[in-house]
Amino acid sequence: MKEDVNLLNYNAMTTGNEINYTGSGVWSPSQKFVFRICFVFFLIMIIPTDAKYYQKWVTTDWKHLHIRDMGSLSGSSFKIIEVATKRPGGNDTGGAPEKKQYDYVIYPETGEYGAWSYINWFIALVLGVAGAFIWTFLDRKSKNYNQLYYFLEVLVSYAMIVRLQGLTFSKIFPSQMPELALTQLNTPFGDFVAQKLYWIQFSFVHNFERYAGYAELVIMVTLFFRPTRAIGAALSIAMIGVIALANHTYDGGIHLLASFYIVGGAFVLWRYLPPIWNLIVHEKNTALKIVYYPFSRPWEKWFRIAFKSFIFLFFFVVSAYLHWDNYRNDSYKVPQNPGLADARGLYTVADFKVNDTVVPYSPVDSLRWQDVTLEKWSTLSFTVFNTFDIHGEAGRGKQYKDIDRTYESAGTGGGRRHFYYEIDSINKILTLKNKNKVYEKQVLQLHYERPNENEILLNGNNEYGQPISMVLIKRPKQYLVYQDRSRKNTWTP
Amino acid sequence: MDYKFYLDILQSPAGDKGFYILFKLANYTPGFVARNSFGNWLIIAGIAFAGAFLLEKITRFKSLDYDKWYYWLRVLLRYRLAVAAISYGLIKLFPLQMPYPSLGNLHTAYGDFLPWKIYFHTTAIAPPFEIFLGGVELLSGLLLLSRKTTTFGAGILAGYYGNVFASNIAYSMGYEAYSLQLTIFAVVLFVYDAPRLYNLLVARKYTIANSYRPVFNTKEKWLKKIARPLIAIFIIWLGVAAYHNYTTAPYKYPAAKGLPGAYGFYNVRIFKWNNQEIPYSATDLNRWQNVVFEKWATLSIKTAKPIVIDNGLGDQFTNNDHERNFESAGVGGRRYFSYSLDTIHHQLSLANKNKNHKEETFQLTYRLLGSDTIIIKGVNQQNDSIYAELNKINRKYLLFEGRRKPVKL
Repeated sequence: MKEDVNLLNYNAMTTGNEINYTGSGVWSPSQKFVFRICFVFFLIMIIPTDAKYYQKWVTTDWKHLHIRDMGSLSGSSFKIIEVATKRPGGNDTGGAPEKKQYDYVIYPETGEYGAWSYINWFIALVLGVAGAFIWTFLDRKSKNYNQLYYFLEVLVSYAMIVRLQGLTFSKIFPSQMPELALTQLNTPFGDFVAQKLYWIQFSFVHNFERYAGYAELVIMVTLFFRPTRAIGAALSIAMIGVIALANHTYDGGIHLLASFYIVGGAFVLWRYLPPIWNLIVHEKNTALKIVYYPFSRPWEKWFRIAFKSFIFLFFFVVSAYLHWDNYRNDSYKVPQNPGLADARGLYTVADFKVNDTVVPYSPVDSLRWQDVTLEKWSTLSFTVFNTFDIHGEAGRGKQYKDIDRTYESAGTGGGRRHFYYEIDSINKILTLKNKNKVYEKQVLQLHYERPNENEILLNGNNEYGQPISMVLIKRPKQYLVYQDRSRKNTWTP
Repeated sequence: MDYKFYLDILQSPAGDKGFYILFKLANYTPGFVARNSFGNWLIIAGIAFAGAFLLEKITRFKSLDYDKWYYWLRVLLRYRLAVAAISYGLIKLFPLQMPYPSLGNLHTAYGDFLPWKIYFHTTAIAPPFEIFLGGVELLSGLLLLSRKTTTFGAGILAGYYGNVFASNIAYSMGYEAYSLQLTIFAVVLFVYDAPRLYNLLVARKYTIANSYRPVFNTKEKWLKKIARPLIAIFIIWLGVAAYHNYTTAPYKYPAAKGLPGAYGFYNVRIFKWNNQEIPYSATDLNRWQNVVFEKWATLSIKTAKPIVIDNGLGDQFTNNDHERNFESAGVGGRRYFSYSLDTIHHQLSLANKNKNHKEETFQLTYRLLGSDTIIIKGVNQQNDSIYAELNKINRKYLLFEGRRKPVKL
């Protein structure tokens, strides 16, 4: 066996124990320079510079902690220039409903999805290079940055954990992709935007969604502990990196968040790669030559334990609890006000009248309603043969009001309209409001009667103020998407 | 070892440039009971136990070089997994495995698909993503071809096929057993270096590298000399054949061209059944509601008549357009017909592609009025006469319009 001479320097060869590599080596000038760039770059990308973020830790209502607060407490991304679009409802990239204002806003042709969206990363990199020059000028003594390297690796790893927890636990407790709405089941495949189809592919296979959540939890846990950090970094790139690419190809909108795991994961993994290559490809005996900060003083030891415990308790335990609680009681993308009792279903529209004149069924009529659906919650949807301005929101965000919770309606077109409604059960009146914010002024008032459990009579006005009336007849419908391929399945309209 | 495999290879079409045969060879898996069933695994386990017992008896008096046997087992697994990964990588790199949804499928409600079809279509609407997935698979397969990079390829594929296995279960995609088989192959290959990686990365100890170097006898050297170029030729040929299939006639959709200029979605404005006009109806079993002409020779009709779903996966290799049922399998809502076209006599002969409704046929004549109207007359298999006036609807699809610009539709 050929022995690697360098390794004779380490006592580990004889004892076989963990190496206490002192890291007294000298870095080359270029290594030092690249490290300085990385250091400044990641610091800018990770440490929130916004005073409001720190205020949050004081102003948050700790007694009624909500998953919304978890979002705003898990940091803010570095952003000087807002990359936006002018189309209605664009700029919906999820997160908390309240939006910050920026001094600099650009409107590139590719919207928020193209290369321009990385402009703030580019600025951070430019600042990193500038910072590295200044640092090089000021610091001529340092031989290496082994200890800083360790702390930067920890910082990047923890930033990845903290930014991932919301997505992890809202999959483990399936609320990121909640159950399909009936209106979605009755919308043609071609009338969804690609982003929507990417999301709702999880919305009828919740065990698969949980599985994805547990995979993300594995990333969080492996990044959390020093011995498994290399594995966590590799998994970050392999999984969240792929999600980043998917977000680019589907115009999903959270590519910046996901891409951070490619850059961060690569940074953390970087120094493990040469030893891995040496061991596996060159088949040479190898030791990691990595310096860990010893945490030898008591206060350092206690600080480390306290910090780690805090991260674990807050971003693992509390976050998991809050997401579980949200999933059980107020799944954040799903409207919560109950709809008409026992009315959930797909309805055929009969006896449709406008201005007291019967409009017979026609698939090419711009006023006559078709395929009405009533959800468990208070949303009514129908199709007409007409075109409408599409509101570009993605149906994300942790909205407060039911009317703003648009997971069911965002990203669909094809003449399908969605209305939030309020029930006046004494006067038997439904007040409907259009969920598409382009048409938010449209309000319909419909008097309802329910002669039997399968029929609903509606009578009132449509979006254009014309008097309308109709009979809704419930249609028994089994959806193939919930059926088993190995059985005999029959489609019915 | 399973004779049915050879029969299948010999009896079915080779495909252009042998694409079908090469792909099947790359993905042989024993099918003693049924293809892609765990029943086979029981039989194989039985054979393995018997074999282990027998080997024990035979080699009682001479010691076997297990290190070398293990080496050759890994060689076998490496190449087996490599050709599987490369073949599946290629049909994603050239998006054949999950082709873009047909127009008829775009006009089908989301709830009217079986889960596997939703999964396929959702991947298919983002070809760059499918190409990327294929690239990962292909690259990992290539890494397996060299012993030194095997661990990396196996590690990636263990995660990749593990994920394919999980989605096969979630969406019942039909390849549960095969994807688990590939996962196990990848895990077995990865396990060789796993303790060393654990020792290095997790235990962070000084790690002794693999020191086994196989010594080959003359026979083995010859085997290597012959097998290597053969595998290289196989892979290159498969690549050329897959590319050729993609650029000429993707195997999941029919190859024959459809009625020229007819591609589109049509409202059925007037419909007569046995000379009786039936007004628009979403409930009448005979009334055609709308019609889609594909670019290839398929036409789909929406009616209210129940459909017994074709539970196939539409992934068989065939040159018969009628049997290429990817577009009509696992989906309800529309009745799919392959048609033969006689442009001289303006005749269309329709046959339902769904094997549960194969009796349904139409003998039709067509007349084109301008570019947007088609008049259809004829009879079905029971001699009921049909008359339909089809009006093309030029509509936009949100799927194509995307999220980047203002859209009205």
